[in-house]
Amino acid sequence: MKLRSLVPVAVAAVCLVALASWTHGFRAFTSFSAARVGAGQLPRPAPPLEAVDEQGVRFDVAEPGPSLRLVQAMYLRCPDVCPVAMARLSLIRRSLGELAPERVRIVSLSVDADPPSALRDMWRAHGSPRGWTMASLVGDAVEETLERLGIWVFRRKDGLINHATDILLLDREGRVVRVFSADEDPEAIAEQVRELAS
Amino acid sequence: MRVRPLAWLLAIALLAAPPLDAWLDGSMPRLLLVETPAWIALGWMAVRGRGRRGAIDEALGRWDPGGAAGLVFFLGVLAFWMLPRSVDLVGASRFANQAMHASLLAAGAALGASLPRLSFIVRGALGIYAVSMTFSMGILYTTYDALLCGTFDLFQQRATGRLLLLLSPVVLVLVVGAGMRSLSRLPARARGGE
Repeated sequence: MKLRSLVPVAVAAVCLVALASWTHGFRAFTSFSAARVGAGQLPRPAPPLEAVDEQGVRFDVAEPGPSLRLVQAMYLRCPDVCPVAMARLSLIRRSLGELAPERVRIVSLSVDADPPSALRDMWRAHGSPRGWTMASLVGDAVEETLERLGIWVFRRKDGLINHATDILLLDREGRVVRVFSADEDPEAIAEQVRELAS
Repeated sequence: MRVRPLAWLLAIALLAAPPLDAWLDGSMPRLLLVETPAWIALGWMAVRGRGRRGAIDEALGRWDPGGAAGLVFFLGVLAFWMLPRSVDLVGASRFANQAMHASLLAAGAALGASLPRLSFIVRGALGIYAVSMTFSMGILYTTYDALLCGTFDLFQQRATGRLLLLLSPVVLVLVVGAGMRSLSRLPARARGGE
């Protein structure tokens, strides 16, 4: 066999290896899915998520506790995706009914360093819902912390912030046990949460 | 089409320089539908724009007489830079941005050297693939509700999708036209005639 007949095979092999490596074995084609896959297999411990909620109360979202936690990133100035994602989160909360807040707590984590007053305005805009907390992470490493959680955040040149809208389910030990895509049926997500909560 | 080396170098410098490059990188439709094809076209011109077979063409032809390696390289590079994650990388890293320019230039040159060596059937399959990819990416970008490329926004994603959908019949016409031209150049026996 002539050496040059192997050239196309070698080029194909190099291309495939490069693509496989870049996409985590053809599992992650977007930055969002790459962060999700890169954070590790489920279940995985969530990093410490020290936050301040809309009432100014400091707490750790990932601290072991009596309730499950549904966590989603939000951006208060988001013009397109976040309002839809939060409306779906609201449907999930309604569907969970009396499980929130005692057995399931919903947390919207700001990707920006929003003060409690801004969080409170958004919380009130959603009808001051019981069992739904809006919080900002404490510290400067918000993007790194969220990426360790599996949520990709990108600060654009125009100042706006893009981020993943996956909904992460944390169990009572503070481990990430499920990751729901934001476009999944809210009722189906609520059903799975109900099963784990019972 | 004959391309003067100086004009070609000038076009490269213009495309890579910050004012135009930053403007092209600043929006998803401009990045995917203007900048990417422009770099591929410049690579193509490096090989095919001399009016006769040049040194690059002959050197590539020695190692890839059937054109398969060049085609695979072109498709591999294009697949890499069309990934939403790679598009984000271009927006976030200056180094990745320049790497994209260089690799698309090389991919265009590889395609320019390969295409004339490929059989009519393979070229036809490539044309059909180009039309179907343009159309399916247009559908995806227009209808998908979540962001695919995190450095842009949903409005730009939808605008890119609509432009790709508008572009797909143009690509179809170009592919069919090129196919008809190739067919007319084939000997009568190869076309199934006497």
